[in-house]
Amino acid sequence: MVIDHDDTDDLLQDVFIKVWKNIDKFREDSNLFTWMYKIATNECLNFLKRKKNRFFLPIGDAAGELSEKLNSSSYISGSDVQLKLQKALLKLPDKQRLVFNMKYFDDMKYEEISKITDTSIGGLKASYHIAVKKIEKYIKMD
Amino acid sequence: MKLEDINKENIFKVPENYFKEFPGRLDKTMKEDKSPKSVPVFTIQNVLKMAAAAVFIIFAIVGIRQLGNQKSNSPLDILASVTTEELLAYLEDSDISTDDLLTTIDLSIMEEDDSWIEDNILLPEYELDDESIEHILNEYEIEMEYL
Repeated sequence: MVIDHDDTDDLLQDVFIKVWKNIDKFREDSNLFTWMYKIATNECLNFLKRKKNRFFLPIGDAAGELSEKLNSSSYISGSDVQLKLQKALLKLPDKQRLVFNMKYFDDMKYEEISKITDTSIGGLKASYHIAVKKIEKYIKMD
Repeated sequence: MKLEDINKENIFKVPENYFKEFPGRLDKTMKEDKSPKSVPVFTIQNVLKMAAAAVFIIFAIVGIRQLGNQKSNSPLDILASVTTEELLAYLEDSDISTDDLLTTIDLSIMEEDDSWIEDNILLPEYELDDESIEHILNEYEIEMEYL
């Protein structure tokens, strides 16, 4: 989601620190995986929002900056089509990209994603469907 | 090209031993986490302090206003703020008789200094001849002994 390895590392530490500090608030009516995933997604979306706000970056510029990192990072290696797919993903709104990543790359069920994102299954299906259409359109264009 | 035509592949790599070293680094970060704890603004102590400050400010404002009011409540200040027209209108509508007024007024100041009468009572444009004075005295039944 955040592309850059150092940002990912910072974010992962933040997530675990938050989990540790808030473990007493964990209610056992949801499972630990869902609860931790929820913290991770919230932290991730907040991180991206802060990043845009900090540098007063419009959405397009933020995506452009991340897209540059796809080409320059030493921790990213993939075929052209894979990089193109990632660049297409960066064109999506953050929440839609999150849903796409959870469904497509993590093979999560809509029920699980729904619990994590507090979004209806219907809404998630629609979001994923739209995301796929946008991605395919982007890949065809280039 | 469809999405199904692309192989699902994770292109993001991590440094060697990243996950092995991560718990150690996390532990170190948590121990070194000396970020200042956020102090909630609305603790009981803070609320009490703010309430005390608010009460003090309210009392100070009320006190200052009362001091101001006390000054303006003094008879001299009130009298000074009454216009001549208001005073005359009040006297016309009131039950105070001419006798009451004349017995209340301290006339000694007039006796000591005639210029006071000229300056404050007998304005040049209201100078009256003897006949007019006599007429007024009769109308208001003022006896000469008071003058």
